[in-house]
Amino acid sequence: MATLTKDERFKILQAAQEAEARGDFAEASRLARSLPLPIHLAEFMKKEFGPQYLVEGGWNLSEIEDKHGKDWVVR
Amino acid sequence: MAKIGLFDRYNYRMVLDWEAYQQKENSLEAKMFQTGLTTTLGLLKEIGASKQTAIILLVEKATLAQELTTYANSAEMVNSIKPALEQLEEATGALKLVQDKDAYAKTAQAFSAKRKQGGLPLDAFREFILSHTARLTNRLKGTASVSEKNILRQRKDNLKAASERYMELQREALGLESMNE
Repeated sequence: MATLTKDERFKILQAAQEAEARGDFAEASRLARSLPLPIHLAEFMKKEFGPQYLVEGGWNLSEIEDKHGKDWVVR
Repeated sequence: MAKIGLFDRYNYRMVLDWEAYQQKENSLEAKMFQTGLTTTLGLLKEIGASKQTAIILLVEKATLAQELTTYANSAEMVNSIKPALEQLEEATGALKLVQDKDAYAKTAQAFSAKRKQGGLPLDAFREFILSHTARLTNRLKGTASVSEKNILRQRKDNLKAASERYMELQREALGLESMNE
């Protein structure tokens, strides 16, 4: 997954906020999932809901995979 | 001129730090953060109104876990969050137990009258709510933005909603009359 620039990340935040404001929660959720999932949240979600939740949820796992390897989610 | 020595430096440090803080708070990113918190506050209100006790606990657990790994920058804070998470686990256990009438009725017998209120045991769930509410109250006394404090206040309100629902479950489990009847 290509690394997002700070500018691109900010634009995603803005678009997500706008989607929330018009009640389009599906779009806000899609945009949130396109941002790299913070490592602490990836660890929390895996522990709490299991690896399938992360895989099927389409989360961007680039940060945690950079840190712990590509197979982190299924390990 | 008054001799104030090192305070003179402290004074201008305060000026510089305040100026930098103001610039940070007025940045686009800071404004985005404040707007986002307002949206999150709305969602927390919705969760509180739903009175879904398990979801309210899960929100607290995720929030505390985030605070522990990201914001906790002092031993005091770590030593406050860790016991909160332990108590929350116990509360989750109590929430499962209270839904099993027979098991909860037996457990309730082990509580002395002193550890009951209106016949309802002050169990792990009720203890968690009391101490965690006190923790959040203490944080409201500290420095934080209005949006952050609104979130803290809503978390307290949600704990109250969870507690009310839990007490209904306790009454149901123990065959006591509902307060709503």
